[in-house]
Amino acid sequence: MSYADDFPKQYQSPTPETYAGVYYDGKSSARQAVSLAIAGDRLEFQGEAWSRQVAASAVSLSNPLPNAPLFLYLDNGGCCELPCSPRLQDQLDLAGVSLGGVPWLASVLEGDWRLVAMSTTFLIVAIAAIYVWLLPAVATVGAMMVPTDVQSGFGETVLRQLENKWFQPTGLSSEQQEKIQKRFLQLVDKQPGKYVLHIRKSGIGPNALALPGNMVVLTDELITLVGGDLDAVSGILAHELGHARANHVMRSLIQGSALTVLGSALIGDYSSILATAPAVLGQLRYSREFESEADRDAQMLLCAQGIDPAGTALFFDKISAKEGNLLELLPEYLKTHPNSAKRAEFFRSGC
Amino acid sequence: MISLARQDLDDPATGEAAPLATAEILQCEEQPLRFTGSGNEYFRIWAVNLALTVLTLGVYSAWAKVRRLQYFYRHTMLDDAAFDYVASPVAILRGRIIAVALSVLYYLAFDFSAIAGLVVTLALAIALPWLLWQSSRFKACNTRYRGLTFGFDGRLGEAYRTYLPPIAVLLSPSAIAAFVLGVKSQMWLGLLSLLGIVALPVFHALFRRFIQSNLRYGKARFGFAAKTSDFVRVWLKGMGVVVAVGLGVGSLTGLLLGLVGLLLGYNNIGLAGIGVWALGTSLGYILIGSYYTARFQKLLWEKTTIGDIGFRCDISARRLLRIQCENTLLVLLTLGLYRPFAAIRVARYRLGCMAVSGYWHLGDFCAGATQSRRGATGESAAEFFEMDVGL
Repeated sequence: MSYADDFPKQYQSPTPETYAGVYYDGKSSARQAVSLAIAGDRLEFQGEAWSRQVAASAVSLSNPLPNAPLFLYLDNGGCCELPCSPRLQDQLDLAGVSLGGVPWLASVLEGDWRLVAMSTTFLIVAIAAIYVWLLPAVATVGAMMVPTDVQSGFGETVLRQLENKWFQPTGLSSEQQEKIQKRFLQLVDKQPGKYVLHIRKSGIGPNALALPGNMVVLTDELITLVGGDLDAVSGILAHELGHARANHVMRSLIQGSALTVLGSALIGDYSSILATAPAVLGQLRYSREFESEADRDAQMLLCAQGIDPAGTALFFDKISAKEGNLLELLPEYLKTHPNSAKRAEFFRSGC
Repeated sequence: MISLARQDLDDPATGEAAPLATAEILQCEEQPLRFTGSGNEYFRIWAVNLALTVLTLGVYSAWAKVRRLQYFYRHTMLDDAAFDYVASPVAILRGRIIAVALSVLYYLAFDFSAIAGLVVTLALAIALPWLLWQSSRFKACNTRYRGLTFGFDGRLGEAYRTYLPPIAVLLSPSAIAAFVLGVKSQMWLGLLSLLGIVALPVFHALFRRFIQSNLRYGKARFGFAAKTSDFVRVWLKGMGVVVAVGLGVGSLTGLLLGLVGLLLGYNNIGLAGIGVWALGTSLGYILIGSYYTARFQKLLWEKTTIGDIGFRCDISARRLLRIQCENTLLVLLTLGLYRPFAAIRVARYRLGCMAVSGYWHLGDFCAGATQSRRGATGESAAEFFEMDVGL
């Protein structure tokens, strides 16, 4: 124990400083000039026509903030408003005035610009880590936890909605359908689980999609686009199977909603339209990652089945020509899919 | 109100009536509101608040909210006195936990079955007016100025009469569509939604009147003289602005897209259209947001009286729009780091354009009945469901 701790507190500062402030009695909003002196663990308020001594334990200081007035709340309902003064804060603390539930850590962190810089850095690193590692990991585990029948129920609902709005029964000959279904069966031959391929005529142009519940949908227009080339169709089916096997739809649903929540938690109270921007951009990157993952998976599957991946490049060449040059100029971070030319290149590289 | 005013003017110490009609009381003085916060200071608070919130997985957010509001309140000065926010973070945390539990329940219920979803939706609809009522009380009685607290005297029954009809109108399209008309009757759905849009300004007026006319400072009740037609007029003008700007931007866009088609090939029009659409909606959103914020702030405060005290609000929608556009751009360019500075700029402008004037002196108010300061349940839960509106 140090000497200072041993020494009676009231003798530590023989000439107490006074602080000018304003006193409100809590019964009216009338302002009374007051000067505050601190002697040991007692606070002396000196008004124009009155004076009052109060024990420090009967007073609480509302969380001090930089350059803002200090509010002392007395237990008789009175309130003393004083200009900001770090020295007064120290003295009140020393006298034993309770800092009404002050987040002590916060005021220490805010007080030092290096700590503020560290907090900001931590914030940026934490958000990046959440985005790159935590959310994908959580989504992968979360998608696995969704029961299979819930997933197929969800997939069927989506398919029904698509059929109501966009899809019509296929216009392909049954012979051609059979050929494609045969290729599909060849691809899913060694896969665990049951996969179904639906072929539909669409109003959305050449497209193929994987739905939850191991469903793959292929449109007539896509088959026409590649001129019925079975190797190209196989590549696309393998790509969609890649999505289905890795459960990308469920994962992107979970990641997307988590991103929206995160975005609005961070800047939502400023502007809700701004809050959607990082969520949308973030979701685009996740989407491109899934596409590349499915491409790699498709290449492996094709090679294992002895189908030449170069056939798939035909589809990307055609789609690239159809998209127009502005899309190629668009930076990749604004797109849901990697550049078609790049993807064609990837498949052309063979096994 | 006037007899109450006399009582309020009585000397609080002696109980004697204050001399009326003295020069001091009859002098009408105007006091501007000043905001003294700075972006540099608030940046520190903001960064530490967010870092601690992330570190504690959101638990700290209640303490962060108190600290943020205290910074803004204490830097709001009127007649050389500052406001203070005295809410307990623990009460806010309790409210947030309940809000999260309620929303989880809401989402899970629909996964369970449609009937369960309907039951939970109905229960929420019945609980919501109570939550909003609690929220108004909590906010008012945790705000202090010159040693006196504000209060909210609205009755719970009145809260139900005010909030239930809009909730019913908002929820009925989906409920009716799903259970009565079947999913395919999109025409009815559209008509009901349209009814909601037409009724919106009226409901907005009812909400504001309920809150604003039931507030009190100390013992003095707020008066609120805005008519429903005032609100409808602002809403219509706002819509007019949007339609006019939309037409202008639309025709320009058509021209631009035509040029893109001519110069770069027609298969690029779709993509260029999406880009223009995204830019246009963001700008439109800021435009309409600034317009309504400015106009409703003016309407709300210029029609509000506290005893003999009135407010003047010289806010310009155009200035606010400029500030918001610059803020948005800088927030985007700095990946969000400019946000605390943006918040300070907006607060400085919105508060700095207000003034208080009247024959009563700001020092002449008396304390009213103390209200329980519990009730953050309402504030946080309502906030979570994005029901918190206005200044």
